[in-house]
Parts: sequence; structure tokens; C-alpha cells
Amino acid sequence: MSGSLFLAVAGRGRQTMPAAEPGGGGEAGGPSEGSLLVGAMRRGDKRAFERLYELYAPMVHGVLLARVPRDEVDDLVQDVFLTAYRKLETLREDAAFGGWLAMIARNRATDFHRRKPAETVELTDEGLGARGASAPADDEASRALAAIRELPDAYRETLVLRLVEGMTGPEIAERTGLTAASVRVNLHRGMKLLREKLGVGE
Amino acid sequence: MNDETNDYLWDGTGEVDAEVERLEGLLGRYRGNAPAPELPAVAPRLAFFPAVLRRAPQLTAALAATIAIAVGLTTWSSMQRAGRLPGETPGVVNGGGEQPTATGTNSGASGPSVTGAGTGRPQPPAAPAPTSNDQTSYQGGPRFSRPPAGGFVGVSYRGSRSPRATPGRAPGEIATAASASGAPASGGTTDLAAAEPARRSTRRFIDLQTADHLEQAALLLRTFRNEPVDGSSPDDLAYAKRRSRELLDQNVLLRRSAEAKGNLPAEDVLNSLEPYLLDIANLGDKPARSDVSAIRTRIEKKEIVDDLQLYAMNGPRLGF
Repeated sequence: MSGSLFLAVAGRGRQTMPAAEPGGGGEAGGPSEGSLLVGAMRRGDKRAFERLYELYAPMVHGVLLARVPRDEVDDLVQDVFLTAYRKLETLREDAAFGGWLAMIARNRATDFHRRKPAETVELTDEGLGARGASAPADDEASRALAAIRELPDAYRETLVLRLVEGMTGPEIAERTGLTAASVRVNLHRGMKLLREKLGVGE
Repeated sequence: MNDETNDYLWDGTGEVDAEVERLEGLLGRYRGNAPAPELPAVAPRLAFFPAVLRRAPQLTAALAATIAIAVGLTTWSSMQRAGRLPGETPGVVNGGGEQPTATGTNSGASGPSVTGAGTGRPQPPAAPAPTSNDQTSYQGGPRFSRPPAGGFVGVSYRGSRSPRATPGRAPGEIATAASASGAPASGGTTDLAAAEPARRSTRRFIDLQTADHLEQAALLLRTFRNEPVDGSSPDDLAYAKRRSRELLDQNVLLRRSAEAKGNLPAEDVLNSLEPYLLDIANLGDKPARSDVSAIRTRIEKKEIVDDLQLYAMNGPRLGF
């Protein structure tokens, strides 16, 4: 059964993330793809885990990138998924997988900062001239990312998911569990603050 | 381009926002592409639990029996509280639970004046029974013959006030519309049965975990609202932001769970709570006083704290 389930939902690439699908209702109000995959993963289906990774890794990556140094993010993404796999029995509702996973990612980022003293964690000068010559575009990108990281928590996270991971507003809502209205507010207010920081008019 | 109406920022449609497009091009290089991690051979919990079940089927049976007993006790407890123990005749006032406290309805009657069949008095109109979802407009109404002058009609069902009821409206006042017609009823009434579903329906939609969450959120919002006018201390604000973030995470899980179960009332209240938690969590480290005041004003105006407390109060209470 888990094998046929996997075949039924497999085949979607990362490039096109279907909006409002993994966590929301499926056809005619039935269980969503994400819920089905979580159910399969509970039964030990590793391919379901891989598919869930494909669907949710960008969201987890964005949540972590908004909070921890870039060179730590990839390791922490894997850490978050392994934690989710180990603690899956604590998830009460399969449909809440995205929000639950985002919570694990945020907690992981908090733990990271607790273990490392603040002065050794540099979020702002990655890729800048202090480390030698780098392309102007890299500098500009680094400054933009640094500016986003200075924003309040929810704005920062939502903007990273939108501008870095390329997720749309509905996809962000679906993956993180926030309402679409909340995501829209975060995007708009966050973008407004970001424009002010970058000195760009509307 | 105005961000409020920026469709391109929202979902990439509409007129292209040059700045957003530029940032997408710049920042896309930071996307992750790490492969999925290798899973352990067997998930520890998944391996352990089935093994226990295979070796100890008696444990499973005992667990099922315990659950059945717990469900039965909970049901009995809630029925006892409602004053509706098995064998009770609908429409007859009993001695337990919450008494109907209609005031001044049937002339000459003292105490509760539930008009059941066979009383010989004019029957109130047979209003339709409220649906279990109908918490905000209880159309059924208790069936008393005459509304009291200046007072509210019907059964005083504590805790059943709709969160959207106008402040100052007495409990039960929502039901006045149905009872005002005065037309004779066609048959026997089940007044308590009509009033009870509205109360029980709220309780049924709010489980223990959600009720606790709403209580915690109400506490946070009330504390935030009542902070001194000249500003909160940095520690208090930091705590409020952190706590708000924690509650927001929990709110997301509970809302998704309610959504998956089709529990619209719970989903609704959790939806309405989310913007407040988000706004508090998103305050800067040194927010402008106007930003803090704006949130407090909204909390006050929308009476969100009262609503949350009512929902939390209507949640299940074990052992009562």
C-alpha cells in the first residue's frame, strides 16, 4: 500500500511547487498529499520521507537561513528532518506537519544560538570584502540578506521564503501553517521595511 | 508600487515589481540544495511499539477498555453537569445541574417555568431546534409564552453567550427573537433540549488542548493590554514577544488540526487570534509607542480577550 501511495504522489519536481497542496485539503476535501505522505512515513515508508523532504526542505531552509549563518544551514536542515522523523509520534495531526516542522526548525535555530556565543556568530559579513575580493553581485546579495535578517522575526522569515526560496504567498501559507492573510501582511509590511532599509522607494 | 496591492510580491502575478524581481535574482543564489539525510535503519519508536503490541495483546485490550471507561465517565460527567441524566423527561426541570432561570414568563408561576406538554397553557411557537454549529445566532430560542417586561427571556444557560454578542447583552438575550412572536405552538416543547445544544456544541468544538491554549493567549493579551501607558520595560516586552511566538506556533498546529477535522468554530477562533500574536511577536526590540498602542487599542476594541476566555471556559473540564 505504501508503495502504491508513493507512486501516486511522486514525480513532482522542486521547480514547480504546487500551491496549497501539501498541507491543505485534497480533492473533494479529502486528505492532502502531505497528510498521506506523513501517514506513510509513520508506517516506516522511507520514500514518503524523501518526498516530504522534497516538499518541505525549501521551507525549512528558508526558516533557518533567516536565523543562522549560511554555512550552517544545510547541516541544520538535515538535522531538523531527522528530528522530525524521530519524533513523529508527537505530531497529533498529519495535516499540521508543515507548521510542526517549522516549529522544530525555529527551535533548532534557537538551540544553535544558545550553544554558540553571540559574538562568534556573524550573520552580516558573509561574503563581504573582509574575506577577500568577491563579486559585486555577491556583496549586494549579502547586504540584501543581511538587511532582511535585521527585520522582525516573522517578516524576515516570510521574505526569505519569498525572495530566496522562490515560494509564493499561498505556498508559504500552506507550508508554514500560517493563514494566507497573515502571510500577506508579513510580506507587505516586511517588504516596506526592507525598502526603507535598502533605501529604495516604492 | 504599493506593497498592499502588490500581487507580484504575493504570488508573482500582475505587474512586475522591479525591486522584488531584482531581489529574487540576487537572493536566489542562497537557495538550499542539500540532499535528504540518510535515515536510521529503523525508527526507534516505530520498531519498539509494534513489538510490544505483538508480545502483549492483553496490554492493548486493557488500554482499549481504559479508554472506553474514560470516555464513558467524561460523557456521564458532562450529562450530569447539564442536568440531563438518563431517564430525565425533556421539559421537566430536574434538581441537578444548571437550572433554567427564566424570569416572569408564565403568569402565576414561580420558579422555572418550562412549559411542557399537557400544561394547558398557551404554547409558544415551535421554533426550529438550533444546529450544533449555530453559536452566534441561536434561532431556536427557549419556548416561553411571554417575555418579561424589560428582562431577558429564556433559559439562563451560563457560558453559552456567543463571542460575537454585543457587550452588555445578558445571557440568553440572543434567543429573544424566536420567543417574541407569541404564536401558539403546535405541540409539546423541549425547552431545555433546545437551549442545551448551544452550550454543548461550544464545548464539543473546543478540546482541552485548545481551551488551554486560548486561556494562555487570553492571559498574554490581557497582560499586554494592561501594561502601563508610558511603556513596557524591555524585559516585559521581550517576554511578551517570545511568549507570543510560542503561542503562535501552537496556534498554527491547533488551527491546522481543527481545519483537518472540519471544526469550523475552533478554526475560526484560532484564525482570529493569529493576527494579534503575529503583531506582538513582530514588534521591534525598541518599538515605537504608537505601534504598541495600536495593538493595545485593537485588543481592547475587538474584545478579543473576553472572546478567548469564553471559548476557553466552554472547553471540557475533566472531573467537574
